[in-house]
Amino acid sequence: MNPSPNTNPTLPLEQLLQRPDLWRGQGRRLAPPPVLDSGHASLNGALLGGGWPLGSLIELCPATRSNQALGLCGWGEWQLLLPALRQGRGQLVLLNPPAMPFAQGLLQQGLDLDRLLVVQACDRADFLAAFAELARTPGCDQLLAWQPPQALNYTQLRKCQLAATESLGLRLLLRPASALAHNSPARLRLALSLARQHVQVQIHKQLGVLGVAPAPITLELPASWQPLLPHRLLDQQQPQLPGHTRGTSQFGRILPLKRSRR
Amino acid sequence: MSSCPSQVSGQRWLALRLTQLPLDALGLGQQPERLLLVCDSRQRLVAASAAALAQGVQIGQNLAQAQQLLGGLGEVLAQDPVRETEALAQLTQGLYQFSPYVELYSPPGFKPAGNKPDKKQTAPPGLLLEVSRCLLLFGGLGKLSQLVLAYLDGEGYQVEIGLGSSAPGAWLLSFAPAFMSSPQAMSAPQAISGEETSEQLQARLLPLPLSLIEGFPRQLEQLRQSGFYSLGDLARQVRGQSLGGLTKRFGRALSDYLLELFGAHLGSDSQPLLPGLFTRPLRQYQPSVSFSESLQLEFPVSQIDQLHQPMEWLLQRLSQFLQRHQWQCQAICWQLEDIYHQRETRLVRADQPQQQWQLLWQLSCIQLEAQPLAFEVDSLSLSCDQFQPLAGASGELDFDGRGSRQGQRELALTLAKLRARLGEAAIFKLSYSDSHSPEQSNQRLAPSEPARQNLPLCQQQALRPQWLLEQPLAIELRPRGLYWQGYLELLAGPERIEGFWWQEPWARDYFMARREDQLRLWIYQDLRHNLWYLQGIFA
Repeated sequence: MNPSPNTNPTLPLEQLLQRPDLWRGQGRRLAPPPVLDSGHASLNGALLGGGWPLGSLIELCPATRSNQALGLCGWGEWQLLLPALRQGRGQLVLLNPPAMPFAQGLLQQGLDLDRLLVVQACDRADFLAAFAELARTPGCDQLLAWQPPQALNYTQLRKCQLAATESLGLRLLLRPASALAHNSPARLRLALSLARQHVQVQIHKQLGVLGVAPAPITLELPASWQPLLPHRLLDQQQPQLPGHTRGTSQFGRILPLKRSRR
Repeated sequence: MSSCPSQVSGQRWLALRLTQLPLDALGLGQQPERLLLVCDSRQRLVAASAAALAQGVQIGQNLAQAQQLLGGLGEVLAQDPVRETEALAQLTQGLYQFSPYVELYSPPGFKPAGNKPDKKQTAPPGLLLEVSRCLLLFGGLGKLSQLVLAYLDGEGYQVEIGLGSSAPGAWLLSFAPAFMSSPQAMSAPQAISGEETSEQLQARLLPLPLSLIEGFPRQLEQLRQSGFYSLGDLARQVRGQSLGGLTKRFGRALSDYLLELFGAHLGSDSQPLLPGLFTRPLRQYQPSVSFSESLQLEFPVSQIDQLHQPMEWLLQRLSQFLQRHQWQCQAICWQLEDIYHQRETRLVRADQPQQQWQLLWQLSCIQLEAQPLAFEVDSLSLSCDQFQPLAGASGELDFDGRGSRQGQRELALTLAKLRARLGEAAIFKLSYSDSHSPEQSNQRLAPSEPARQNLPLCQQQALRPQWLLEQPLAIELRPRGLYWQGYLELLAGPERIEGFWWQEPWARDYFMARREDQLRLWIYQDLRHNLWYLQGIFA
């Protein structure tokens, strides 16, 4: 007589509970994955384990004005990610970036260009194949992928998430903020927006943490991004930033030149 | 006290006469039981297997006669001179491991240069090695000759070996075993012991018949008619009279040949010859810097997976070649050919130089699978002509394995798969290039090339965005101000960049601008045309 395959009904459940990726839904019971220091103390404090989770999919969803490709860049992504990216030793791959990374700008930020590799895959099928291949490769230490123009559905995101779990690297997927309205299997989802002097980070979903959404985190923008003071205010002791109080009237405006007729 | 066997006086030449090269070059030399006949374009037999020779077939015979002897059961193969040449080049390269002085045998008066291609002049196949300088390394002449024979046997070539104190002498002595039974060859040489003196080697030449000498048919016929049959007859004549008489009657070429063959031993006591003053200098073999090998498949192949094993075999040969030379290579070239000589070339490139075959094999498989075969492949060739010396590998200690060699290998395979799917141009690296123009300073590189990262001080301090648009986008100039998907406000600048005065000069004033939604943009005013453009985005 053949024994029944499930003689002990508790065994499969116990096996399931051993799985590190099982969300048990009550507080921080999930075994924290290995993390990478994000380089921002306030963000580390809000993230489970104290940094970017490795070996799982992280979604970054910036609020963008346009749905065009260029809409996904310029919200402070390098300011947010560079401290973590600089720590890596293996390859950093940019998959389907919306524009060309500028070597001069990245070198100024201390990034090793020999680690950087750009892979262009605009088509959704190509993107998914490339993401899965790269995410599985241990030699690809950090992967930054920009969603192609065609949106990814839940099944496709699930494939990305599964591929990300196969190696212990940083796997980031950048999608527009409109994607937050839909479900995603990503371990961590962040909503991002650019303010006048800071980048605002709101944790939309974090696996292993249940409860009300924490307060948004603000990350200061570099001083070089702030406007120069008008000449007449330069010698004052504590200049008031004009943008806050008086709008933009004190800055130079570029107006068409009115040429006088000869 | 006996002298060390690794020290000899004068030169020592090993002649390696490839008796069955036409058969061995076709890869069939190891099948003596088959009745194989190799004939040239004139249907004359150039080689035959041992079984065929045992039935009375002779080299040089007409094919019809040979088939008659074999009862029509002989398998006839066409001679392939190209493969023979390749085989000889390959053997020369292989024998370089024993001595730096390796050369192809060429009979006196033979001109290998193809000045007259219509006149089919072929040299008998053989190789000559001068080994007197390598005896200490290999433990004496006896051991060295055994090693050479074992190497040739391993490569599948049948060979007759001869040892002499000169190159032509060694060549003639390679025929000596055939005259063992003849009464003229009473003192025919035994196996090479390493104890042979120059005098003994010269004495072994004497019983050999004059007909073995190639290149002088008219002179030899005259000598035969005059009663000279063996080399000994000729040597006695020269010693008794002088070389001058022989030169006068039979020409300078023959006497030069005899001088090279016998050396100083040809002189008499009254008239000593001093050939050492004018001996031909030894030419050191320069190994080929390219690798090229091909493999004939047993049947035409239309599926890629059937090519995996032949590719592996050829790449293993390449790996052995690279290890022998302490080299590594980064790119290899596959050539596929069908029975109608239709050809297709596939180039496979690795990101890191390789000496082992495994990664190159996997990359080749991926690349071949990406494009289906256009025809049924009958032969496969692998060539490589770009090498670099094996660099001592050093790296950081890596405990988590992410930057390890294994990790790099897996990344190389992943990139090869992506390259096969997305195209070569879709994967690249970035580098800084020294130029005033921002777009020209951003350079695309292949992943294998090192990036240039030394940014000049002026560029380090300048305001630079992290994204660059490949084509600058025009910015509208509205009455309220600059507009690109929203009104722009200038935050910093200008930074004047101008250049290319030697071509079409341009001048730009760069600014950092802020759009209404706080996006920071890198824009410039083209001063020549008074137009505004967006070129970068700060992130």
